[in-house]
Amino acid sequence: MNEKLVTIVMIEDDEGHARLIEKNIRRAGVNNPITSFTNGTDAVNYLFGEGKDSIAQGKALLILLDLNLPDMSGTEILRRVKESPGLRCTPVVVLTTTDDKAEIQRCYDLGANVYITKPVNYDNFANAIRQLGLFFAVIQVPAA
Amino acid sequence: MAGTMTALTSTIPHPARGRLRGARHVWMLSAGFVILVIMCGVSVWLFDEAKRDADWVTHTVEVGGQLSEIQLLMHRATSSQYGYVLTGSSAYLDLYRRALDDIPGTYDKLRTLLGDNSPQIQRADQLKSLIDLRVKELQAPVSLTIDGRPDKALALMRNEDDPSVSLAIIGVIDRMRFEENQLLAARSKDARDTRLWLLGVSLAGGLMIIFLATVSVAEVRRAAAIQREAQKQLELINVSLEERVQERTAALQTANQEIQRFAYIVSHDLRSPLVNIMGFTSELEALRQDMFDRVKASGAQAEIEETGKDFDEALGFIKTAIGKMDRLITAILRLSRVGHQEFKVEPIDLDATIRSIRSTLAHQLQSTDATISIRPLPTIATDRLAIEQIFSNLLDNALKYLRPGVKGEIEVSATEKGNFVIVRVSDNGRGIDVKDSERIFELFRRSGQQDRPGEGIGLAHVRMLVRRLGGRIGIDSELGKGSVFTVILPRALVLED
Repeated sequence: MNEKLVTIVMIEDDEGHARLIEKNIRRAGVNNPITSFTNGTDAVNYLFGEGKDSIAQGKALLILLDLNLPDMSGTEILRRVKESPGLRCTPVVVLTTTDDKAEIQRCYDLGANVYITKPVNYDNFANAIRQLGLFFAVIQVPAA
Repeated sequence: MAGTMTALTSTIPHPARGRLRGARHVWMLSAGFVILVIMCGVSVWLFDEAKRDADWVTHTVEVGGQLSEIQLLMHRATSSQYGYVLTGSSAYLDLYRRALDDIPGTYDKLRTLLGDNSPQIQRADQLKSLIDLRVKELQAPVSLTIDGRPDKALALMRNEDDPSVSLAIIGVIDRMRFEENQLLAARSKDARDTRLWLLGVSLAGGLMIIFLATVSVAEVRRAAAIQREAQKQLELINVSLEERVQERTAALQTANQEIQRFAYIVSHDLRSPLVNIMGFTSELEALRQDMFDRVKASGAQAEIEETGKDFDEALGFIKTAIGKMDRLITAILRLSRVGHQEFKVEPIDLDATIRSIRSTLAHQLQSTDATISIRPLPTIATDRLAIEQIFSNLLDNALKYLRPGVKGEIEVSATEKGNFVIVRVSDNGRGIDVKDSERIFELFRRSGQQDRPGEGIGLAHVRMLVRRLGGRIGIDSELGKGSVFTVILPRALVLED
């Protein structure tokens, strides 16, 4: 695997959603490795783990984040990523069912790069993910 | 809270105690009144008694006067008899006769004055017989002198001069006078006793009244103090009551917020599995296409055609159901947001607002050949967004449910009543059945022919908004004739907090 290829970190508690997202990312022709987490704690350990435990160390990352996690709020992870000196420049795509304007505004205020509401309509859903693929293709991700 | 409440109520004066105190007031007042009446009566009696005393004194003096008169007349008769016998002058005889003539009248007066005092009357009778005796004594020499024998008369007087009758008369008169004076003294003593007694009663009554007045004043003061205390307690209770109301209101608001939060969370969490169902259904559809294409390529076209239709039908139903469920969840979400919606009060020209809503509906108006006429509308102070949502929903509805074949005529008018503005949105559309007039405002409920898209959300949303603006909404409608929606809004919305 190419060291310079950006790793997509998907933090999504719903495995079905994770599978659908992955399928559509692949369909968009994005071949980057995807690391999935179904809870906030594991994801935090991966992102902020100390020393050797930090698997994420030195990798270029892109984070796909769901806000409704069973063990912690997605916005909390977003805040920590954007406050961390090493991860601050990592693009974060918030992908969630919430379309509450206040919530969206809050995510952007915390530094989210893209906010996508998961539509129930699958065509729209697939379309949104594919566009995200395009976004991945043009984005420059710095190595952490 | 409950503890302080019981402590407060226990210090409040018991009503029964208050009633007793009231009875005591009445009792004291009547006692004072009775004493006053008694003292009044006593005074009248005292006055009467004093008058009677004076009468008695007069009486005694009068009796004394008559007695003296009788005595005087007797003396006069005696002296004029002497004069006549000695001088033979008819002037003395005249004097003598006049004196004797006056005696019976004076005596009668005395008798009248004595009334029914029997010992005195007995004495008077005695006096009368003595007088008669004395008159006889006097008469004998006078008769002799008249007959022309003055010497014989003189001799008679000289020989038979016996003063015993005259002395007896004086004795009886003195006795009677003494008796009268004794009576007067006794009566005066009685009167003095009575007066002393009356004075005592008056003094006692006065003291009683002073005592009652003092007690009453003390009682009134105490009652006033108790009342003040009760008032203070009442104020305290009022304050705590207000606190309780505030607490309850806060609790209700919290509960309301919780319900809204709940609706919000539920709708979100319900949406999440829907994304999966829809997503994988679509994946299945794609798979089915792949499979069937492959089967077709292998040649079994005819059989697979039928199965394909069944597949499509099943998938179609699933997708329709998901779509519907998604819209319902969106509706719950929207309503829960209305509950959250923050209001900002500003003056809103309803006229301009409705006009701007009409302009956004221009396309629909054109395609349905309907008109919206706007009568003069007032300006009210309320939330702009809410007002726009309410009336665009109502106008949208009116346009949506026009009667086929009838040119749509929609009218917005308003009347003002006190602190409220009543806005009417009337149409000549299809109308609704009277029995549905409450139902149409409920979530997911619709009325009449279901030939227009919609989930039964709009009017529920409108009613929630109107209520949050402190107003009411109702409908008057007749099936096949049209509907009138009446929105009653406060002229100025007052936001709580």
